[in-house]
Amino acid sequence: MRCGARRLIVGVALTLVVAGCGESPSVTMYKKGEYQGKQDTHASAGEPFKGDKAAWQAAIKSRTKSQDEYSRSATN
Amino acid sequence: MARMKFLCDAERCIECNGCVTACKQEHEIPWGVNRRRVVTLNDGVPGEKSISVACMHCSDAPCMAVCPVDCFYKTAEGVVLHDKDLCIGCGYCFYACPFGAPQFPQDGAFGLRGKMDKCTFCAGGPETDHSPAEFRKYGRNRLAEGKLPACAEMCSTKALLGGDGDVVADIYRNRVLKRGKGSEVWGWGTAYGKPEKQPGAKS
Repeated sequence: MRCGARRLIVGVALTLVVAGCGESPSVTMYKKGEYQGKQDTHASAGEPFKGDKAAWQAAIKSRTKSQDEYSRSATN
Repeated sequence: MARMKFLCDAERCIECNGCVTACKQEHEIPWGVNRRRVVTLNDGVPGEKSISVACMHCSDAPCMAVCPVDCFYKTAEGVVLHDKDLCIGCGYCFYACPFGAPQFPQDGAFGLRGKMDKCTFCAGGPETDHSPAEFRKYGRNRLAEGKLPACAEMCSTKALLGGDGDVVADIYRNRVLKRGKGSEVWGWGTAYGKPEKQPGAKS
């Protein structure tokens, strides 16, 4: 009877001691997702530039610069 | 490597909505979807300011971070695009976006939310360039033609600038240095005179 009670106490104590071991972290860690869709080609890959990245960049740059009317006007 | 950016000069924007119209016309955007819109602060009050807003193609885009199906990607030039075939129309990107850029077409009689639609910087999407599928899903691919977004190129006062971020910043810096400040700038003061000279104006 006494032996059974002791076993029970030891069993409960052991259970309490190891109870925390199985706990998994509950804080969600953010992982950056990977794009899952179809792959896109570069803007210069199409018909007008035929993969010439430098020509495409030059075209975009000159087009961007043309938005500046100060540089387009003769007085400035 | 060019990094594509928009910049709207609130001193120049006259709320003509030309950018909105250009965008809708260029991409044949359906009714109820506005990839770009003009927001006016203090509307009707002297000194009101308008600004043209669309997807700002954020360097650290929150829409990309919250998408549960990871349908967003960023091109080498920093343009944030998405794959409509993957989009489930959940609307998380809409809640995450500080600019309200993601738009959802209302399909059907009961307002069923369709796939997300937003400004593509006129760069199309993950379909063959200039293909009918690309046009139908994402609109025209002007960038692949060596052109800038239609909204920026159509802007009559050049308030909306678009293109290589370094060049855009140089244009804006030069403009700010040359035009001065207050009512000297191209805008309200030019059109209506200085506020203190207006008859009946409170001093």
